[in-house]
Amino acid sequence: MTEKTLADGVKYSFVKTDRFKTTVMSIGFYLPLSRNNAANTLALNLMKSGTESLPDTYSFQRRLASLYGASAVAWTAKIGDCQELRIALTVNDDRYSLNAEPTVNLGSQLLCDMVFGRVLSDTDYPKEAVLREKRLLKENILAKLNDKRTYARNRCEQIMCEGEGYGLDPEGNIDDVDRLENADIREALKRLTEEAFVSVQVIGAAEPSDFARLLAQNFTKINRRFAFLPLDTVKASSDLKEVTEKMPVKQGKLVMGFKNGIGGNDRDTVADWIMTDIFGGGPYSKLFCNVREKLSLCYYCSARPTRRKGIIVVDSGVEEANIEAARIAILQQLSDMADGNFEDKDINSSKLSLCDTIGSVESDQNMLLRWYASRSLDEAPVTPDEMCRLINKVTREDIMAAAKNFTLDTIYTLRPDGSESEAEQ
Amino acid sequence: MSFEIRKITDKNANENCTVAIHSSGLKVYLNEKPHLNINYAVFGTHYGSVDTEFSLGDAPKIQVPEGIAHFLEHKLFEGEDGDAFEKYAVTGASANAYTSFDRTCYLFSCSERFYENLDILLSFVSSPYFTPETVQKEQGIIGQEIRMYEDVPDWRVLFNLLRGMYHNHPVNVEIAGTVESIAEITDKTLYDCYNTFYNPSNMFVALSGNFDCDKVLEIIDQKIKPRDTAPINRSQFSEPDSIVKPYTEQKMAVAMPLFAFGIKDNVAKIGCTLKQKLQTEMLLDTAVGKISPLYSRLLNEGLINSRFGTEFFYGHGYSALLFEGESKDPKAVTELIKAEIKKIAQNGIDPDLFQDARRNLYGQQIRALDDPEGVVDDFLLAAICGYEPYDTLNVLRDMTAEDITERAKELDLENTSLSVILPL
Repeated sequence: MTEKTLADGVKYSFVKTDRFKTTVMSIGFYLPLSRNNAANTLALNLMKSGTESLPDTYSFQRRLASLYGASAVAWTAKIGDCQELRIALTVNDDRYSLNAEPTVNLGSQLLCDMVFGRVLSDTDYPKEAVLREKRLLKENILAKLNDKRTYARNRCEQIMCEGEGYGLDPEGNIDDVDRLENADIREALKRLTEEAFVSVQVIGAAEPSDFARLLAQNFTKINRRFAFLPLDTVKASSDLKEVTEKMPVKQGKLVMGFKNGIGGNDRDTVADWIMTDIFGGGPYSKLFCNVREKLSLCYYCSARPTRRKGIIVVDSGVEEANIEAARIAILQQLSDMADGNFEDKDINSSKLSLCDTIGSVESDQNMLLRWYASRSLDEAPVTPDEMCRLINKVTREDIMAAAKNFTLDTIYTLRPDGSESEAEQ
Repeated sequence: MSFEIRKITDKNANENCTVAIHSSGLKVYLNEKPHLNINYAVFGTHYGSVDTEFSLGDAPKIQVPEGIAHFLEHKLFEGEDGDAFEKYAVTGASANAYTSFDRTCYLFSCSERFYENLDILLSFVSSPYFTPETVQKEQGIIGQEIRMYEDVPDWRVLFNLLRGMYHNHPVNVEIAGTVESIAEITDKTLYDCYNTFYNPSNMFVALSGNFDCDKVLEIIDQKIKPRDTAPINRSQFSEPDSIVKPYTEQKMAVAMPLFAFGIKDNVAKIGCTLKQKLQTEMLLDTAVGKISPLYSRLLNEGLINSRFGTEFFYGHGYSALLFEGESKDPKAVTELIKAEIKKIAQNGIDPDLFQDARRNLYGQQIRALDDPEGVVDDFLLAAICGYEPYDTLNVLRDMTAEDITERAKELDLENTSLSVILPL
């Protein structure tokens, strides 16, 4: 991997690999999670929707198709208390063009036009595009109600981290989207390009010759005023928060949030990660073997850690009558972890499984991009190889200590409201 | 070793594969990727949720409870000598399985200890062990899986549509069955299904990754033994061409209306060859895909959002074009889609749009071959539908705009059904 700094707070890395038929170019913008989440997301989505010369969906999509189905994606996520806004373009390598088109360089120019075009020309997006993207963003936010598993997890995290950036929806809320006007979009575009920490990743067989130069050129035309990102808020649990909501659903959801008040990056939290994996990761985990297989209480019951925040969230889908039994069983499993009631073979299974998955990261372009993108804010991101070495050093005592540090902070329960959802007609 | 072996190469995509037919009838597809440190493997059977009525040779027809193929998939992980997951826990592989309308597949991915994992996969799928006690335990877990899907609006809107389109074909039944139907499953019915459909002659192995072909074939030859069996007689579904009803509606806890719209094919006319599959996919792309003028119009008029998508939905005895998404006015969307297809059938396709659509699909196919999972999925289609691996790129190269117009002309635009989920 080669790395360089293109401008103040703009890092660029190129992973040279001939393992893939495609090249992916990705630009990530990092800002504090705040009431600006909606404006920032809208600005990012507008970048993804076209360029000044290809301003409408039809002409832009035709251009992508002509580049052998190049794919343009954008996503917004949370990394600690930061908002990650990422845009990526994937193009087939030139050697797969039927008429020798230089697809990779054409793609890199297109991505630069998407990101910088409006900022540099200081022009507004067409009214039609703004209305469309505002509507799409609002409908995206609304649709989060549809998937009850994700909805319940999000609600638990919101309650757990109320008042912190992490407690906000990274895409913002409907009211904020409604209020956005052209001036807000201009400001958001400036926040992304001028103030945000920027992390660029390119993964492919050959470095697009012009991409880094074009990026550097564009960033020098911008008045960069990058300010360092704030530290993540990491809190220990205080009083147990219990929230129950009702909805016309058939299956209840039980989500339990735990905190350790420590947080940290990969090197600090590797024992937490293994503990969570033995507790509720793969099919060898205690939650899978006991709560699902032995007690037959759930189809899914799993635990997931959140990097940088010192949080574990356990979620399960259970029959309403079994919610209490599931809660007791889940707590028992965590208490068993703290008491050392697990076997060495459980530790081995977890280490083998995690290292096996990490071993394939460099063979999958998307996984490789996600690996480094999600670690963009780490001082010295661990490589997949280093992560495996760290995992293999973790001891039984480290795992027990990690389990002891986590205490229950929030219980969120979604229960059926008793009304049957109307049958099909 | 007892295999009939063919090697296939696609120079444009820089890919190759080995197709081997074992003496047991097992079809084996192998794609070596020596530059990757990842392997993806599937051992599957051509047996899915629609196979609820069947017989072997001259034996009488058996009818089994709905959801049994999926139930069998869950149960096969438990063997007399322990759980398959416990065995994978010693190697570190990520294992899973799924059941669809026409297949049941057991899979793993790994970066290390590939041959050991392959051995585990071939062994547990070949060693059924069902008892009344383990069957009963699974009813609780699958019961919760069924309950979960009852709350998933995307799933509900699709099955409501399938019930609106299909009179008799079991594609209109949930893959996991119902809490009531799975209560009828016994260890004996599981063995009946297993002994019928888990015969190597009805099965396939598909692998992509960093391995040695000869060594893989040697392991398969050792583990898989030919079994005498009479031919499987699958139900010939007496499905009329007509739909059941044009409109279905349900209310759920959703934020805005979801819809699924289907144009039912005349199955007798559609053979589901690879060319027909690609003709249909290109028709969907040019009529209402992201590159089409209509997609842009629907987006700008606020009639669809980023969750709009299309699918050519086909298999043994069923075939339809599906359109799914969210809309404030699903009926308006369906009218515009029908009008666009009618226009294509009458006037043909703009030649430039056709070229871009073909280039788009061609590029996406090349890209899919990078991903071991994408490669294996293609092999599964080859195994079940009889396609030749890598033929997609060849067929696409020869496709013409007239082929797409012809496909549009085959569709009966009055034979459609719309399913909508409305907010409460």
